[in-house]
Amino acid sequence: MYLNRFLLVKALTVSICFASFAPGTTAQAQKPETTQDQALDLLVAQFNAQTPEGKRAFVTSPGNFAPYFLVMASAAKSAIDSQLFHDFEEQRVDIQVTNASPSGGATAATNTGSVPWLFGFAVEHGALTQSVENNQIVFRGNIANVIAALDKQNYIASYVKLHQQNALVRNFAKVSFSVPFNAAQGANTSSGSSSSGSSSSTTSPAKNSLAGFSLHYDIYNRRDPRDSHWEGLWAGTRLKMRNLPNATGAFRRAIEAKSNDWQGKAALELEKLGPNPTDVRVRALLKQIGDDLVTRFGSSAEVKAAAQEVAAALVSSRQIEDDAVSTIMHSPTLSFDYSYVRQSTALIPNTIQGGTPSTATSIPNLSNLNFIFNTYLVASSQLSLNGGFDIFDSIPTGSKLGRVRDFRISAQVDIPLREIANVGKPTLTFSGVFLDLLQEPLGQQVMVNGVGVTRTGTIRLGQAKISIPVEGSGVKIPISFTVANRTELIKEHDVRGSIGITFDLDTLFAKPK
Amino acid sequence: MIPIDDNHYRTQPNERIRVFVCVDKPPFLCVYQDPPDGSQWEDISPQGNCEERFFRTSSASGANVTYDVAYDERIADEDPDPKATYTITISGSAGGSRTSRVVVPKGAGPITIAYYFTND
Repeated sequence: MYLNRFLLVKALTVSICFASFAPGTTAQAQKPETTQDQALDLLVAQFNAQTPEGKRAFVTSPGNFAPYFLVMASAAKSAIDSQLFHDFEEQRVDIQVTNASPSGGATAATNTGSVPWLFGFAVEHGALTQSVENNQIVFRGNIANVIAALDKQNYIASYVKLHQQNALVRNFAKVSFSVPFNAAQGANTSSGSSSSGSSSSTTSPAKNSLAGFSLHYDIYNRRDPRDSHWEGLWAGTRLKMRNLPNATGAFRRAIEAKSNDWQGKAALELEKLGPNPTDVRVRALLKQIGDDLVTRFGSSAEVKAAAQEVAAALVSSRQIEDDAVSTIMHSPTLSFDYSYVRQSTALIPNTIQGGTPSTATSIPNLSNLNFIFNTYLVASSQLSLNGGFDIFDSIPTGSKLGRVRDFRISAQVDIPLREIANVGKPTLTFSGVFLDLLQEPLGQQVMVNGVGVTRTGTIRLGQAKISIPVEGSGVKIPISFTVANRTELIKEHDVRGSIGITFDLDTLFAKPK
Repeated sequence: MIPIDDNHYRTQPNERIRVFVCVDKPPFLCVYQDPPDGSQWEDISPQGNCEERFFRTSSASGANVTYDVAYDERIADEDPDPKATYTITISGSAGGSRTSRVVVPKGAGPITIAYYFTND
């Protein structure tokens, strides 16, 4: 049965990967092989993005052709060449699609605070503190951002517009939601991944049933380069980046000191291009203009030295921008989660202490309130701290239990690992949970063969997890190993493994069109 | 000032030129050559996602002011419209104005534009 679950997850992984990689495969086939190709590809992308009037300004500005000039005119390649066309991508480890709420299938021990800006979903198998396991599908997103993204015609500057709205709209945009579903599965499943001796057979929750819902609110989250909070940082960044236009200005002066003909010829060639040219013709035009620059000034030591300065300034500007982005992404976050958890008799294992468990009345649902703090530690590792409690939404008739079922604190450290070729950067996670069950977890004593058993007490849990990304697809496969002193209903040592799949649709939407 | 195209302008001697640039998606990453060839920047004032600055042309007929501007982007990874558009409005104290645009696709910046101002 465990194999079947694994195959389900694997099948989902394969189908999602296939869909996501389809455009990427084409891009890979057209991957440039030389720095000259890379330089031309960059010029084509820059040129095509401009307005018809802007194209003339683009081709008559020598600074845009400095990298191509350097690549073509320098016999000896410098170390800078390889960095010129490097597309920096900040990999974030704090985005979380799943939720460490007490609902049945969640495999995360701790919430990290950041959620997908747009939409994500996850399929996970396992549960941490509960005594049964089930598969769960979690949908997570942000209503305001989904509406903005669907209305693509007006999407430009939607973030800015959103943040220029009144306080109600701004606060609405900070709220994201998640809806966990218990996935379809057999009526009885063996918990093959668990080593807990007594829970050898479990009853699964109802097929495709809603497991609850969750709301997430960012109390403090500045991890967005667009946030007005960072205007001062970007002003300082611009000051540091002045080397770049100063270097392209020097490159232009070095060219114009010898001749002004190059720009006139570039403008003339552009006029011959005509309306709606193909990429092949655009590429040929830009190559012609770049080659003309090399032919005219390739033997000039002054022009070559100026081009070298432009290349160095491009690399240092990128580093300055990266440093600013790193500062932004390393800012702490504080958020709040509310989760409504539907409890059912499916949470009760088939056997406890060799007897058949039962409850006298229906099991009350739970509300979980959780505060989440996230900050960076050394290098790119992150620390997340959670503190929260569960309350019963109702108390069974005749029960003298208190409203607060438990409180829990947890900590998690995420460590990005080295990039694996053609895979991406896996993330290693260590986490620990302390949960104090102040009341009976099901709101009443569980009866075993008619005798009430008490299930209050503390649960201590440790987890190691590795999340393996599927490069460029937004898909991650988390595999975790969890050890606990007990579960909610079974007071025995518990060791279990979990596997899942998460999909952050933001990555798909962010792919260049 | 008489615009010729997006980056070439005819100016009057001693004319004060206003350069006003806005980006549709922060951060504002428009960086100017400093100082411009043949003049100095004056009254630089950042205004959120925009910036205003001025320079004065030379008093000599036929004199030039030239400068380079680098436009870049840091668009968030999840942005479904991955490009930043800069809107540049250049106007002269003696009259005349032109608005142009520079579009920076994600990962393809910076784009550099050289601006030329020549006195009549």
